[in-house]
Amino acid sequence: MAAYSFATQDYITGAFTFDWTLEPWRRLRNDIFADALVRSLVIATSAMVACAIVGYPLAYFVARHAGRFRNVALLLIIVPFWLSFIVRAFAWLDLLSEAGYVNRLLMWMGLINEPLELVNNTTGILIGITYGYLPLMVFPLYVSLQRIDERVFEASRDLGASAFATFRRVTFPLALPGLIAGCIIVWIPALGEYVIPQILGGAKTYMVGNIIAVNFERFAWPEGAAAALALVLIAFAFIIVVRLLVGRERLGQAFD
Amino acid sequence: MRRRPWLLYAYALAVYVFLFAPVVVVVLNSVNDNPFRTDWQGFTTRWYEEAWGSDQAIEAAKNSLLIAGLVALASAVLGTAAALALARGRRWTRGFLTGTTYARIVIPELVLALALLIFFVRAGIPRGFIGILVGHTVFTSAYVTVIVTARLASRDPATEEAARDLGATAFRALWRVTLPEIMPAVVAGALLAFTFSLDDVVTSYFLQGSTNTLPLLIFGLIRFQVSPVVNALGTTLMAATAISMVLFLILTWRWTLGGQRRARTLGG
Repeated sequence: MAAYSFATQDYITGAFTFDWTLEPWRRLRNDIFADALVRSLVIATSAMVACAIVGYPLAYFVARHAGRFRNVALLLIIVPFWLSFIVRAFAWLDLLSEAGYVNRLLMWMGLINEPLELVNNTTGILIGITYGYLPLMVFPLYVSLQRIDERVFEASRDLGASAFATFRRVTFPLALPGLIAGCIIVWIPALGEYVIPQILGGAKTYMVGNIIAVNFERFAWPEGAAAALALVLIAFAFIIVVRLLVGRERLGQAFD
Repeated sequence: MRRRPWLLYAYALAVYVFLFAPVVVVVLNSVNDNPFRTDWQGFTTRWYEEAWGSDQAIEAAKNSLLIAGLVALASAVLGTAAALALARGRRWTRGFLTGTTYARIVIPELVLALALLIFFVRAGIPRGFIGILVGHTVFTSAYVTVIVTARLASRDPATEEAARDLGATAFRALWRVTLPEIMPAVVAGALLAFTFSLDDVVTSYFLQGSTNTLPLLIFGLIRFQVSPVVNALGTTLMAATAISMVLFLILTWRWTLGGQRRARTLGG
């Protein structure tokens, strides 16, 4: 804790001099950093949306349709994560490569004629992050969905609502706290991801995390620290935006 | 009678396939006699021999297990202490503790790892074994605090008050009444800390010094020579995790059953 609060102060000047210069920040204003920042924002946002789209039906299934297999269904979501994080990323490298199983399956199905470039680029990173962060979205959603009283659905049906209307007017608003929590705990770490782009992004596809790490590795601490601080500021800005969008009360509910 | 939502079932099944595909690939390729890992070319154990034949891997595995065990212990103690302080503290203490706890969970790991690196260098703490240990504990104790706080909030504070009324000292009340009550949460938190530490790359990478852990070894392998040795190491590690998880589940199950039985005996 103490380390954290002291280190934030250390960021700007690094371990060198305390002259509070903006020089490192100015040096960050280059195309590589801007490029990485935009890519990180796009990837984090897309991964968040993808996690929600992939995760919501799964959470709904486990919470409301798995019946007495509910605990098994939940356990099955965790089991793949017993495999080391880094080995899973490596497995995606094999799955998505040109001669990999995903491309061969798509070609066999006749959906594509030539292998797609799925890895060593932004697509690869996006798939890796969506895969890695899926449980972070599924679990809060599951908690919200599982709390809903079955009678609420019955009432909605009895009052003549269609399945879609029930989803839009009943289920979705009640699942919202889980969705908000899920979005926050997916978006922020995804923005600062370092290992997944390192493995699945190839040599040229950088995210902000890689820029920060490279700067630290070549002992350009002030620049690295400035980039890291920028990352933290963006993360706080994101929480403020979410709070403005959904209101303070709902944000509190999300982390209840 | 409600109609069965087959579409939902199919979708959920597809997501499970997505979740398990990498696991299947890793396990299969760890015994596949094909260094390029594209087709099945017969069973082999040579990747395992290569993986565990080196002293480097054994050394890294030892480091990983030792660090994870110590991190679990330290996180359990520190995280629980913070949770207890959180439950009792005044308003500003609570605010400070809640803030610093959630900050450690929400801030990207890379940023926190580098903040620690700067702090260690300035404070003259050597990197390596101790560095990784402290680095992991900074994160994982926050998870313990969150889990134990949830447990503390759901228990009945009257039992502790009753203990004090019956003449127990504050320490005795904590030791004999409160701690046994929150123990399942402490153990769950420690287990989470253990798995987090065992799997961590980012923090270890920047604080490693000359100490190697298994994930760091694998990270190095992936960066410099991609080979099925990674799959063999990964499969072994997964088997170890799976076995300890199953043991833990059986233990907690018997523990809670035993607890209920004791409670019945006392009550009847």
